[in-house]
Amino acid sequence: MKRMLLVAAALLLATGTASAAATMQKWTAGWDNFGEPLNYKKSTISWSVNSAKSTLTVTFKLVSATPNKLYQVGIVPFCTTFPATFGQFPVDLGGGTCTQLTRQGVTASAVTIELGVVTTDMNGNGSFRVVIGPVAAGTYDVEFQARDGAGCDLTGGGGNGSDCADDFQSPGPFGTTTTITIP
Amino acid sequence: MKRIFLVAVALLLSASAASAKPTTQKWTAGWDIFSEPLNYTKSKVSWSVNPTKSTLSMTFTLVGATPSKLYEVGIDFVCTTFAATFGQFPVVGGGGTCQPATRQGVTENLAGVVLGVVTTDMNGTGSFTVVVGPIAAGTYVLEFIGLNGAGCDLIGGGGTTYQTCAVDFQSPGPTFGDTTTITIP
Repeated sequence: MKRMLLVAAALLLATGTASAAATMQKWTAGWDNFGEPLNYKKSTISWSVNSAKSTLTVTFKLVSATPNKLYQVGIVPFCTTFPATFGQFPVDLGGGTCTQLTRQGVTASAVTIELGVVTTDMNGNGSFRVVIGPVAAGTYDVEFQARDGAGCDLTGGGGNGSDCADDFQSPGPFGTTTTITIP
Repeated sequence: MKRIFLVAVALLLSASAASAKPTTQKWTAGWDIFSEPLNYTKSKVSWSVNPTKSTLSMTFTLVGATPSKLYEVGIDFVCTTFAATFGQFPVVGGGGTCQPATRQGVTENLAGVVLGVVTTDMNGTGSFTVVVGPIAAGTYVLEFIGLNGAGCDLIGGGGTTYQTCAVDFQSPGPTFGDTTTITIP
């Protein structure tokens, strides 16, 4: 019995080492739309790196957003140049030289990777979890974003129009980043 | 130490008793579009009922679909009348009398619920998990569906057009009206 308990404890420790505790951060208003409803206290992004698998797991959670609405979510690495892919996801415009943008009075170069969609229920609540990887080793300075619809740079949605506008960002304001290291 | 171990075992057993093992079923070609690519061997819908919480958990997995594409997923219930909501999700059209539809030579009365979106990666692979509930107790006769885009009966996508709302994949299928029965106690 004692041996079983020790084996269980060892397995638990091994799992904890490979996959770090999740980091949780808040959303702020986006860099394009500032009036989209959201409960900023309860809405979160949680992310964690699994160093053994070189994966990044991200959970996007929206609370009290517009009911029955699609919010396309993604990650925006700030960069000079960037590869064509981030894990199994293509980089918008194919990577290469990062695109210069000016938002909220800040000019920075970035690329965007579209990861998925948060669909809200009749209360405006929804979440989406994605595991990205394997991701190339490196240090990534990123913002997370939620767009004003679904279909920006993807097939089967609203296309590259008003749905591309940024409703929510994290950490924000534009250019304020989170550093994620993939060992 | 022995007591701690026994408590841990008891907790584990109670957790597994409350949440049944998921049922996994395959996708088949949809009743509107028959040519959308999909690896039907690896793609699936998994669902399970938690009787304690009256919730239904579902994971929609697509493999080998069109890369970088949005597929709205949901449920079509075969019914006579239906409530205005299913858990926290509104029923399309507000519930009431279920609407007749004829596909693949079969006519059924339906009510629909939209649950979310599967976004595929550059390999055409993606998944989406949702927990619906609490759900009113009852026996639900239904098909799971994957649409040709995102925004059908929702804000912020391609809108309620044939291009977006056409059914690419159904489960169980292969024919419109082939159903799965889910009981919420």
